[in-house]
Amino acid sequence: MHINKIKIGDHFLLASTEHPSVNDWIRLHFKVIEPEHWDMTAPDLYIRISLGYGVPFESFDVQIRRDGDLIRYERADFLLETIDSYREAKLQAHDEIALKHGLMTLFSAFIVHHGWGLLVHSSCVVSNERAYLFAGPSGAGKSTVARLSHPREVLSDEATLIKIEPDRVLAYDSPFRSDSLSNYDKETRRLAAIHLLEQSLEIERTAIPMAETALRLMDKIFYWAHEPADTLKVLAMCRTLAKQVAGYRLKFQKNDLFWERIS
Amino acid sequence: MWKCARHMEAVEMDGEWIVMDAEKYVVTKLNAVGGWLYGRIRDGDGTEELVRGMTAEYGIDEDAARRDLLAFIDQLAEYGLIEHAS
Repeated sequence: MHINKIKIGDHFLLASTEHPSVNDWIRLHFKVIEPEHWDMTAPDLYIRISLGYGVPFESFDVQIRRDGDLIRYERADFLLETIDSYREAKLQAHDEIALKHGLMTLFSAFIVHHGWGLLVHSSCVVSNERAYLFAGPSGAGKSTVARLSHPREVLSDEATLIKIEPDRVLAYDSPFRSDSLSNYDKETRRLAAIHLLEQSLEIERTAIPMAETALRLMDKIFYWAHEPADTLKVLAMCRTLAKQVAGYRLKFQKNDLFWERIS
Repeated sequence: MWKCARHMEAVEMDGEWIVMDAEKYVVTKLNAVGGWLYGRIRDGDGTEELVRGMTAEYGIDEDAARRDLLAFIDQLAEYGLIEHAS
């Protein structure tokens, strides 16, 4: 049995598996706390991971069923079973894509349920010690913006991990990436602005009202609605986020000149 | 008489409102007038109170207020945000 203690955001997960390939995958993609550095802090979430489930990826649609205290997230390529506090879970996956999406599903539901924050389909880049988020529909340029922003630090290129507090919003180094791996040496930064991307022949940055920022963010949260109480937490957190962090529509060309409009 | 539909939650931000169906995860943004009206219906106002409120709030005469009100109510009901109280 391989057991890894990993850190995501402020949380510690204890992941166990019998599969060496899953162990390698976890150690490659996550910030692993080696046993000699374990302290007495109890993990926030225990997860057991196995392979051999289902078929390769077919669609993003997840079927959610509740059976007593147990919640099942079922997709063609993974089955995630968790108790309703999201403290213990079992993930059966077909391959690495299913592993990644299953863990994102679990962790996103966990942070929403506990009112900690949100996992937002977006990239996030650091400039002058502040974090800037870039969201948009598929193909809008989220990961392109991250690549064009070199040598600035990239906190995320696919799913930004943000903690939402009453008086500040923080962006964390995200392990859920598409085109890159993190070495986890990046500091957490205050989120300074949210950009909704539009590829264009010109560069233009226009402020948008709070309600529109919140509304446009809501369909970019990695969240599969099934529990009205948790769904209301998403709304409340989007509101707190939009009240503190300015939203902009950003038209950008495929170069880094857009940074002149931001910082 | 109208009431807010079940499982709806509304939040106000800078004069605009977002209303969410927490069961279906469907979100609707209302303009200032729509938000004002939704808030009053949520507080339990009936049609005549809403008409009086509109004339006072927006400085329009009673006929115009009633006409606008019915149009707004039709829209809110069409989007499933409010329903008949009875």
